[in-house]
Amino acid sequence: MNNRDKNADRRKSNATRRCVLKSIAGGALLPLVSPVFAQLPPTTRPPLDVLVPVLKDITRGALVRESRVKLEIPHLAENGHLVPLTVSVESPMTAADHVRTLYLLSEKNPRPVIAKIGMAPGNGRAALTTRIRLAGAQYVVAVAQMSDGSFWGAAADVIVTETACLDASDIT
Amino acid sequence: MSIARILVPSQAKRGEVVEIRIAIQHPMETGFRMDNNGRAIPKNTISNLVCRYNGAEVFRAEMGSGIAANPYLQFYIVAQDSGNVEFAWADDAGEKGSASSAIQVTA
Repeated sequence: MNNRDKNADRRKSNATRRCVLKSIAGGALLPLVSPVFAQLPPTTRPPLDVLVPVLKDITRGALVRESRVKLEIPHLAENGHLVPLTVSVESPMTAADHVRTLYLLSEKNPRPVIAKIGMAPGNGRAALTTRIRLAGAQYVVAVAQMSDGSFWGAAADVIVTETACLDASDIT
Repeated sequence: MSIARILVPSQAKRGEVVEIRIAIQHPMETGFRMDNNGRAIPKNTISNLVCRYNGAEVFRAEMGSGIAANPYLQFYIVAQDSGNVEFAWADDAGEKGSASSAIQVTA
């Protein structure tokens, strides 16, 4: 492959990333699960594809809406071994309306579910800060299940310059 | 017995939302690494952590290999009554740990 091809390839992948962000910004986010993405031809399909079965498992097909979840993670992480991350969910955290479960998902890690967090009205504020491992540049997705059963999510694009040490050759 | 540091404010007003932090010394072994003899090191992460405030569960975390070594968690609770904030966790190797801190709640 010559350099020009490589550049064209890179541009294409950038375009794909932009599409995802656009669709996220447009509120169409995690309809990863929605048929919208499934209809796209494979080459323009966002890379979040990998997460579709994982999300289906979690949501059982329910729509994941955007706007209530905020995911703060550096856009450029130097070290994939330790990436700080903060998720906050807009919720009054009352007995009637609170965050029940919060999922952190990774697109490229060998195990896509980073963590499953159980919350309760006693939290007062639905926010979590932790530090995660990332195997390469990818999307990180946070999905919250509310007490009424609805799902809300957010995705963030992270570039990782030094990936978390992974000897397993099954990750390509 | 793993070593943990927790930070719970010693005093708070009733109804105040206070920040709780915990950092546990743990390798959070991914299960994808090999030792010097080429044998796989088994996965060992803190798969189960529970935080109770005066006996009632307020926070629970199931952490996999995607959580960095020496896991750190920061979250919030509403100060209701004086008492204890207790953590208990177990890793895949069956090793258990716990930590607790008192909180004084004023009206």
